[in-house]
Amino acid sequence: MVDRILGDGWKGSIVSPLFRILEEGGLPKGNEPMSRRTEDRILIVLFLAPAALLYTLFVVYPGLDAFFVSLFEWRGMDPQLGPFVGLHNFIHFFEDPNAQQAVWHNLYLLVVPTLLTLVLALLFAEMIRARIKGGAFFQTVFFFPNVLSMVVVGILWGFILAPTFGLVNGFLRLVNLGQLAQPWLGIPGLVMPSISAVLVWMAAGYYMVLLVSAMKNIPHELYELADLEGANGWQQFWGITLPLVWDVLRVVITLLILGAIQQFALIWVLTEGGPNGASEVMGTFVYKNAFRYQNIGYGNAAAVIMFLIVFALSIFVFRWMARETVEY
Amino acid sequence: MAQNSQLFPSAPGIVSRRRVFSFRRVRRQIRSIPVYLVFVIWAVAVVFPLVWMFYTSLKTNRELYASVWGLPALPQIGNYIRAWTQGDLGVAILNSLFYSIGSVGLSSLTGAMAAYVLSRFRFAGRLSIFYYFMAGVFIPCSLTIIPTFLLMRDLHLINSHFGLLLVYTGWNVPFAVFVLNGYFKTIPSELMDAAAIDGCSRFAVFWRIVLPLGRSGIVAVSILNFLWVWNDLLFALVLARSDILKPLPLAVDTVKTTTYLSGDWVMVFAAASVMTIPLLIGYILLQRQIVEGATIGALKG
Repeated sequence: MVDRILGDGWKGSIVSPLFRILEEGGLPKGNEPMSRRTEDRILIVLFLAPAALLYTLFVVYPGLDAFFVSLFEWRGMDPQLGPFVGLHNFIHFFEDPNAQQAVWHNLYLLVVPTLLTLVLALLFAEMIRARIKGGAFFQTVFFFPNVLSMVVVGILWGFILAPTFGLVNGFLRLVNLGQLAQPWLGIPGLVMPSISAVLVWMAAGYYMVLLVSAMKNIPHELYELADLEGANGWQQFWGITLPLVWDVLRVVITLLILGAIQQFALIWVLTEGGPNGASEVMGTFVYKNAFRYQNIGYGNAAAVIMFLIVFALSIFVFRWMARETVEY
Repeated sequence: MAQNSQLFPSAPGIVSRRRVFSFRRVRRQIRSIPVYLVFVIWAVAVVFPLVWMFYTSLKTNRELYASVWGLPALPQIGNYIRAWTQGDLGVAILNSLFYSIGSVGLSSLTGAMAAYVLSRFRFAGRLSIFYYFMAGVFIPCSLTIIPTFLLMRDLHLINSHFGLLLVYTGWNVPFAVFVLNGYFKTIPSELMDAAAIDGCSRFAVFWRIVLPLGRSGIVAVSILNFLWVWNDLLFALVLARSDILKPLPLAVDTVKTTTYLSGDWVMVFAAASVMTIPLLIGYILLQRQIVEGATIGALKG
């Protein structure tokens, strides 16, 4: 029966023992013991199936469906799919100034907070590597914001940057610089820098911890030697630390870039993309189009473009940074 | 000095070299002052906003507007009671626990099973299956939110706690497979071979050897996935369409967005504190595992 459905191609594959069990109506009898190989095959299938099923149904299938739905004009939560419009949603995306703004803000996040986080994380990690007492304590403290929910971070920083009772403006008034007080999240020119500051606050500790653990693998004798040869801290950093943590740095940069493109919750809680689209990113753009403007096909097209950008960028970064690994 | 050599264990020759050039160490200590300064400033920048949030959550709204910095004259527990009832935070906490524990349990078990097979057996298509799982780490959640909503509607899971539970599980699985695959490879295969010779079935090898020996990897994956689910807002916004389904982040966010009219900001501080306090306690208790888990999770891949 199974053969008729699937053809002969499955006969030699790893799933064939399972089908044999289905066909013969049960496990082999005790008097004809299974071979080790058959037992292995059954185990392989049974152990892979639950994970593969959950992942396929709830991640891969919706992901593929997104490509499909993006080809349709579909408004409202109408159960029926709207008319097929081909690539129209994609063309519309590239003509839509709001969409361009969102992509632009993602690029901003890709560069500004990413670079700041990277520099700070490297600086902190190098400082801790240079054997500072209490390094473990500082690591624990700096890491903590990363455990917090974006919702809490968003609410907290929403207050910190608030115009009247915000901490930042309160501080400026305290030191008699009240004229510099701003509605940090309310002015288009200030909202992206403010959001970047929050992101750096959150992420620097995490990437510092990753880099510190990479630097632990560098033999200390290298630095001792450099010390004897009279290399200063800066030269040691460029000559020893940086080449030897390059592999980890590559992971760090990839994670930062993936994070920058996928940013959603923090911006949603802080500004919902406002004021007037000044902090709109692709994540909020997709969500708004689908669940606020009920423009499902278009929202999906934006999501597909977002996926393609993430995909292309992660390949690009990995290729670009793929140097020979430095051995010591 | 004795303290120092304990802090910096290294070869004896190096210790004695240090002693000879001890002026170098003094200079190093002086040079480290700016480093401490930077670290203390950043530590304050991290800690103070949280402390400020906690004590502001105990002020009255009038106190908040009178002074941003001031401590509460009398701790206002009422803020917490209002936040708790308005946001239905008790239900939200139970929901969050259900989603996090349920999806982490399911995904860690199924992920460990798949990772065991992928790391220990040779069979056709093994590598493609591994890459198939690995792709999941690179799929942005935003790509799937709309189709996930449609799928859940078709499966009639939109008004059920199991909808979110399953979606979170599906997203946790690839990460668990990815990390545990790397982790299980470090378990010496002699142990498994010995067990097999002793008559252990493959299932028994998994239960008795792989799971116990891979425990720290499984703990790391579970902690990271738990934090992701506990903190997620996106899928909650899309799928938790009624109040009884809301997890904590969505409930707290709802408290915030509904406060624009009343201006009861101290209550929002209280709601955010309710979300932070359990995380802070958990972080203090499990800090080593969390920090190590994050490192394993990012670098094992």
